[in-house]
Amino acid sequence: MAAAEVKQASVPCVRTGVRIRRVRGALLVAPADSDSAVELADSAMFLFRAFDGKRTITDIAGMLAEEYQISLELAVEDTMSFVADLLDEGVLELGGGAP
Amino acid sequence: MTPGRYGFCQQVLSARELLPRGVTAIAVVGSVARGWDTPASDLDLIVVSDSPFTHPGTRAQDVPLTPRTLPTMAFSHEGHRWEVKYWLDDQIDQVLAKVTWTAFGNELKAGDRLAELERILLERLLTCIPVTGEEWIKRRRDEIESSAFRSSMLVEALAKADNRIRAALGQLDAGDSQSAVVTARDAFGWAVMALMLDQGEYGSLGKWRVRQYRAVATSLLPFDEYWSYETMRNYDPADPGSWVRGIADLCKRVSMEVEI
Repeated sequence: MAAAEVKQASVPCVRTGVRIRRVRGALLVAPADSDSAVELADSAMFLFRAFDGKRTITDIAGMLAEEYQISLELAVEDTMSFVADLLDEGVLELGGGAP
Repeated sequence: MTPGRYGFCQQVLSARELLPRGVTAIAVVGSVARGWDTPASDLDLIVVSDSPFTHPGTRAQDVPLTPRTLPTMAFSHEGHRWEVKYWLDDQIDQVLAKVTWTAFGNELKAGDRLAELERILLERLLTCIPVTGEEWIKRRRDEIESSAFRSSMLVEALAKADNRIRAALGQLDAGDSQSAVVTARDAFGWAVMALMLDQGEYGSLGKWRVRQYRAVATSLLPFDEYWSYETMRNYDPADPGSWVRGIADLCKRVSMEVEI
């Protein structure tokens, strides 16, 4: 549902109150006031760590493309899809760039 | 420091009739054991035995164990204050039973935690200098290190850091920047505690935290950056929000990096 909001110039930011724990090499991420957590591993964890409230989707996709040796086009598509999922989960919000 | 250096402790306690029957171990603990003592420091000891220690000069501290008392004796020897805590071996079994992995899983629901004296005991056993009972101390250290003690403390430190930073950001949003700064300082302390635990240092918010952090400072928070926050050297009174958000970012990075 949030997919339409996500643009390449968007700046994803972890929402205040989101709890993050590292367990057995993966990240467990739970929105504020929720007992259910999303488990992030591998490339999802790599992306999540890049959400610093300063980098745009394009910046982050560039990092993903370099890290996993994939095309920038595919990296942008994957990053936008992942950000949309985490917006729906209430873990991220978009700031900075125009949505 | 070697155990031999503190062999005199047993002689002093024995001469003053301050040893119970069935002594299992005697150890130097606290700042002296860490090599952080100053001329004004107390010499802290623990004595572990099978039989309870009774002496008219002891002060009884309350512990949530059976028996419920922890006798403590303080006295002066050659110009130094000594403080001795007398634990029963069975009480230490009970403390360790609270930090099994099974108890850790239940603790998340029940909120059952170690009392302060119990937590300090386990921390101190890990860093003590044995005077007698070296094998017993080694076995207890192994038990502590394979228990859920570190994870339990880490979960608590991260939860407190989360709680405080969320409150600080709320205070900032509400325009109460002074409260936000003080609350963020508290969050910083808990985040640093989590980093220390991640590095195997059972830190505290007390007087030794700077030395403890210096011993384990990581690239995630180099000592100079730690010191800038600790002394608020990087705080700009014209822009308190920036300082608070810096700590919020640090708390997030710590949560992502330290393994429970």
